Amino acid sequence: MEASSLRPEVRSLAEMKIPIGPQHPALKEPVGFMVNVEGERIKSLDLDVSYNHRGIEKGVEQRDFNQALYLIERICGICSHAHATNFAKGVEELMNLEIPKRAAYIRLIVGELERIHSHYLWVGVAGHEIGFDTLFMYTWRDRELVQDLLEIISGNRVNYAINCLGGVRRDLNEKTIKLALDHLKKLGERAAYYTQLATTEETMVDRLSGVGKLPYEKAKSLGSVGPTARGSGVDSDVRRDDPYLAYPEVPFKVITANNCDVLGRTIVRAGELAQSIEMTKWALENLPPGEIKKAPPRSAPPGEVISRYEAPRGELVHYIKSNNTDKADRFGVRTPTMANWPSVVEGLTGQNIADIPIVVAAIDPCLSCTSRTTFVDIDRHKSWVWNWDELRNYSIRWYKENKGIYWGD
Amino acid sequence: MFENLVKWARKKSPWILLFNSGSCNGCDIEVIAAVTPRFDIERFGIQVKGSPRHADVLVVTGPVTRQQASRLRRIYDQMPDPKYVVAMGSCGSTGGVFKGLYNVLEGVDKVLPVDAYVAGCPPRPDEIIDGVIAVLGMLESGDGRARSKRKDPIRIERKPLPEVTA
Amino acid sequence: MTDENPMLAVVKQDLGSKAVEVTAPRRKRMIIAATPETYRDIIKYLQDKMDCYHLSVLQGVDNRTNFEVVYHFWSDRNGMFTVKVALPHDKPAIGTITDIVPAAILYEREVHDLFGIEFPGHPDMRRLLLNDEWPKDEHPLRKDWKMDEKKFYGGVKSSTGGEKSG
Repeated sequence: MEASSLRPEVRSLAEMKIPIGPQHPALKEPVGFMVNVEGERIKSLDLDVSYNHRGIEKGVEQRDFNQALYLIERICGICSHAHATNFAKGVEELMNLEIPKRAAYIRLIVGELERIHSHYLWVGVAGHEIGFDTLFMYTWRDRELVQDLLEIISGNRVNYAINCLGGVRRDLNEKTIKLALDHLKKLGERAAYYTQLATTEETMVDRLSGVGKLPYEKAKSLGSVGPTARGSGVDSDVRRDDPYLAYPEVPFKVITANNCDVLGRTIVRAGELAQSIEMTKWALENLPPGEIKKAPPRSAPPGEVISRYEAPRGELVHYIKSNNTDKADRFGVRTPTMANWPSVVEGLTGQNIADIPIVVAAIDPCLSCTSRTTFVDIDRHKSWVWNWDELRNYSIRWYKENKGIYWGD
Repeated sequence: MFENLVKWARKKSPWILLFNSGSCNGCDIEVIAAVTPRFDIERFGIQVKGSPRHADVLVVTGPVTRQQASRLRRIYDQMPDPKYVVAMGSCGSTGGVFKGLYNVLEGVDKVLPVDAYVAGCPPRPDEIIDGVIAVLGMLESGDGRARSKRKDPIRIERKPLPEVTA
Repeated sequence: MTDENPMLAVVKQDLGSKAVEVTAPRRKRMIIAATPETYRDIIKYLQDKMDCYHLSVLQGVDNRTNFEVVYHFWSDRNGMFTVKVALPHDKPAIGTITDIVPAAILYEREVHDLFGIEFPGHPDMRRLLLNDEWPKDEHPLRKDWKMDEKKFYGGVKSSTGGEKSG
């Protein structure tokens, strides 16, 4: 921790009443997070998202629909199918094109497998953030079963590109279905174990309760989505409320929790994991026969569409405008991580620095783990920069010394 | 020869620093998956850590967005010699699908000298381990030649680095 | 996809002349064209009477002849309501809605970055997506924007000066 004295003009900037953290011209380093602290208490928190801005929305305007599909898949590598499916179904709506039933089922199966892999990933990352590395290793080992399945179905472990305009690119045969059902059975048993661990094991519950509080009304007014909102009791899920693909036919429950904290979000994700495994099994067993794609027209008639999808992190919105060409005239994306960021600020303001890693991880952000964090303590004239490892180690040590919570990993 | 390299790696315990320069996170997940039990890069003595000051190999994912370019160079400058750079995936090599977008510099070699390119979108964890081991061969021999199983060792020319903003 | 939206007649009647046009492409989707004078009343109406508790996103659109700001509100019961406001190309500005919709705080910053539309009254208007070196009055998502070869947009400079673009 290097001490540095702040110049008067920086100090007066910091005293301005701005809800989300002032800029500090003294610290030119591009950082991920900027935290104003008073000792260990967080006064305000700001996030820099410019590091991940690539210019995709403009790029889609210059590519035709098929090329754009491959670019849009890589907006996020963890929910790549969510983005691709959302775009494909939006363009199909503009073209008035209805895809075959079998294609809708296959898209749903891959989508739910993606949710399974993403939630497994999250349980592991959450475990790693609180110092429970054994959980991280176990869940990521089991997650490999899902990755194998996705590779057999689509050809790639990540960025599956199973979609094409009008349907899906590859079909499932009997052998694949049997293998998938087999893996899902194993995954179901393991998921039940992790669910129990994450939601009832004493140390885990102690660690996660009361952290990152987000009351019901705030969750709604700040625009939170997905497990972050459902962990605060907001009963909303795009698959049930604005159905698409084959969701009207597949039986499932929307999981909510009333804890309004990180434990609530954990309970929701664990419940969704079990639900997704059941849904995938049902879809595989009831896969309708038929074609897997329909040839789309060359261009889309003029129009606009708002396509919504329940990604593992929450509501994903694509706004697509077409103008009688083979390209989108405007393509707007709103990722669920952006919608959940205000809830992180809400959950951390006034809290301890040691809570930052798990509260940020609890919205399951598509952020790089190599973010650096700048801390500024105005009153003590101190500022310092930590990388995420240092912040995590501080957090684990704090909870060990102050609350006796430690896994000894 | 490979066994000697593994013995050396276990003794020296080389550290990898993972840097995301604006990627979709696909490559990052596969690098982290390389640490987990199925692939287990740690059995080779390699560890993935977060600090540049002790890192030996810098693994860069992503097409390098404009915002990250100066930070990437700063991290590289903070690493002590000898240090090697692995450009991960098609984004790290040429910008990948993001080629032509306004906020992207299209490849790690626009900012740093790269010692190994690992192809894929994303590369599988075993391919990543292969790339890192090849670069570690360069680290061990210290002569800029990649000691992979290839019969013709690769010689990398170091061009002068372009100027980066502060 | 051609099923009717049951709320269309109700909304048309309630809004009267405040809305320039109300259309419903299908169930659970409605588009309301508003003016800079009436959009706030319409948004308050949607929040109070149509149970639109959730702002999904607000976005900018460049239609070449004018700009548009589109607000997408979601109600579990009544579906998605899109409020569109047309703005002139010259000095486009529309008052902030962060006082009645706190969730808009980051989205308005994004539209400002990419289109240059002002939101007077926004409590914290700073850059969100573009890096610090990006020129002040260049807004990349405008249809008439082209990258200027001679300017520097952030990232690396080649040793001969000027910017290194893809």
